Amino acid sequence: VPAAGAEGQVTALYQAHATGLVRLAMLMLGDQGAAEDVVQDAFLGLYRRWSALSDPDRAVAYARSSVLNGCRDALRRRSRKIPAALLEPDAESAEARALLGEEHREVLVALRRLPSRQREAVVLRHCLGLPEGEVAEAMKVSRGTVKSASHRGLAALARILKEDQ
Amino acid sequence: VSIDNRIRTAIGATAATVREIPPLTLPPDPAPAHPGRLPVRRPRRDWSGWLIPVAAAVAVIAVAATLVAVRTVSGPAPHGVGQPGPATSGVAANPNQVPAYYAVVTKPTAATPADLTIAETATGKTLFTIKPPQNTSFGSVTAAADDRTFIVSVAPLPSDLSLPMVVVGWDLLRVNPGATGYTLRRLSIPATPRKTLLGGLALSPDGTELAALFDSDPAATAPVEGAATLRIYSVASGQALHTWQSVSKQNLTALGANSGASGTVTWLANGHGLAFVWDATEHTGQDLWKVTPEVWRLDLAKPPGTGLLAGSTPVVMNPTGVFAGGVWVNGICSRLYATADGNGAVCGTESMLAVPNGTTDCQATMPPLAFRALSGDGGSYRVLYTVPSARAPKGKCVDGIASVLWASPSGSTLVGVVSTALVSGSLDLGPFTNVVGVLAHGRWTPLPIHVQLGQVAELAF
Repeated sequence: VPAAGAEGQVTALYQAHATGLVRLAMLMLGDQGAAEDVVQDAFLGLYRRWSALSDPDRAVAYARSSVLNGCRDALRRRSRKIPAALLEPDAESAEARALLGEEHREVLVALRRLPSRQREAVVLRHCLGLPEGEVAEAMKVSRGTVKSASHRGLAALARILKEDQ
Repeated sequence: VSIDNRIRTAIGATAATVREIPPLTLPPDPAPAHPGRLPVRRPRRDWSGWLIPVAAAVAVIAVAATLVAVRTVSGPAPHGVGQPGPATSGVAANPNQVPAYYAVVTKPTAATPADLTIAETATGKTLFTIKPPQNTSFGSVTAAADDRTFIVSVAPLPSDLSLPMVVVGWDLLRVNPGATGYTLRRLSIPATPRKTLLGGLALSPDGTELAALFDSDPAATAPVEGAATLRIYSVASGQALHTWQSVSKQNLTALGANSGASGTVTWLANGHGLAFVWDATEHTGQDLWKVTPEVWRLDLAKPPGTGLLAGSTPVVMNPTGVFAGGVWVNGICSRLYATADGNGAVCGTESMLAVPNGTTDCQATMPPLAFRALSGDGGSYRVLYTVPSARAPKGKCVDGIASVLWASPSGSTLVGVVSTALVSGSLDLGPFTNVVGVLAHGRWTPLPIHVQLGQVAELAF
């Protein structure tokens, strides 16, 4: 049961952090509509569990973890429904395609070819600029795994982009 | 344009396309009777996911049970685990015996500085929980071979979670014989420069010297040229006794710890050298990096040179990681733990997936995890133990990581942790179940140590 005042506090958190989290989800999913859904879900979950939060200061970290989990779910659902060969182009909205140059699109397509853990580490470190500790908390892995996954992810991206040239 | 810049630019450009988002829509009833479909929001949403967390929690337990036969250790300690008892400071216990105590530094938050907890390995029982000095937080911790001496770094209060790796002071903690109490005193080892991060930490076997590996570039998020410093301090006087520095432009870039500060630097059992783990970066082309962890052995008898590697010998090179088809294959080491014989390393593997299109890491059956002993160049290894494979319930996925927390000098005995998770539901908050155990003679014995690694900054035996 949400605590009294939960609506106002969660709404305030949403106003402060949702845009950044939608950007994160957008990078993971390539589709702003799906990204908004995931973020809405995360904050709704936060609202539903507000009274159970032991430390409200961790609410943003909670929401970030929920967004990552939501992205994983969305990707799994998508991969079950769409043939892999068609996935990458279909996963990207026409709007995003129009706004982004071809060179940027290549990078994002390469990003989506990474294993999820590497992609998450790269996006959280490079997109949100989070310190390793917060990335580890969001991904529920050790700081060492964040470091190795982000490095491997960057190396893999470099390889993919080179191979595609 | 470097790949790194290209990635940053593309990510920034993509993020910039998100400018306006719809307002948050919360359900009108703050306490709905049934956590099912909600009345508002996009019509295509599927709210059945609300029902998943409880089932997931049950399933996590079930899968963990199939992975490792968890036995509660009570009464006599597991084979090979040291028994708490009288000890004289500075005298090494049996180096092949699992330490009787371990130390945990919690993850700090802006509101809660990190505590230091000392606990018993055989029982998991907490002996002491120590608060940091006022306006500071604990950072990293390392243990001496005498099994009851620890050195813990003191960090600023965490306005930024990377700050625990900044060192403003060092404390020496000694557990009294019989664990009846402890003493904690500030050492005169100097603080480190503000923009230097602690990447590795090890106490000499006799507890008289501290080796610390520092990363010079806290902003490094990608393989970049940079220098790292390995320094040995006298615990008694605080003076720096030796200093080595990596050399820029070498094909190795020291990015410090690949798994926190503990376990990255190991003092050799004979006290005559150190083994350290690097995340080594080789530039194989203008925009190509090959990033692999490596283990090097530093001989303290050789005079310190200008380069850290000049006095060091490679021990483990190119240990794991095969890159094929744009992704890394399964079974790579999650981290390396340099062994104190200076001849190799041990590691646990992780089920990092290599899905052809890279769009999901969902796997119904997790590949077997393993603990491995590595040596030499080229990735040769010996499997010490294979963690049984696990299969997730229908509709769920399973993921896992094995890590080494401590190893005997030869690597024949180790303390490890097997972390597994069922991946399901967007509200999965703490999906990993961690089983800590002792591996000796090919036999895995779980310990009654209950730790949430996501809430731990450092764990040292």
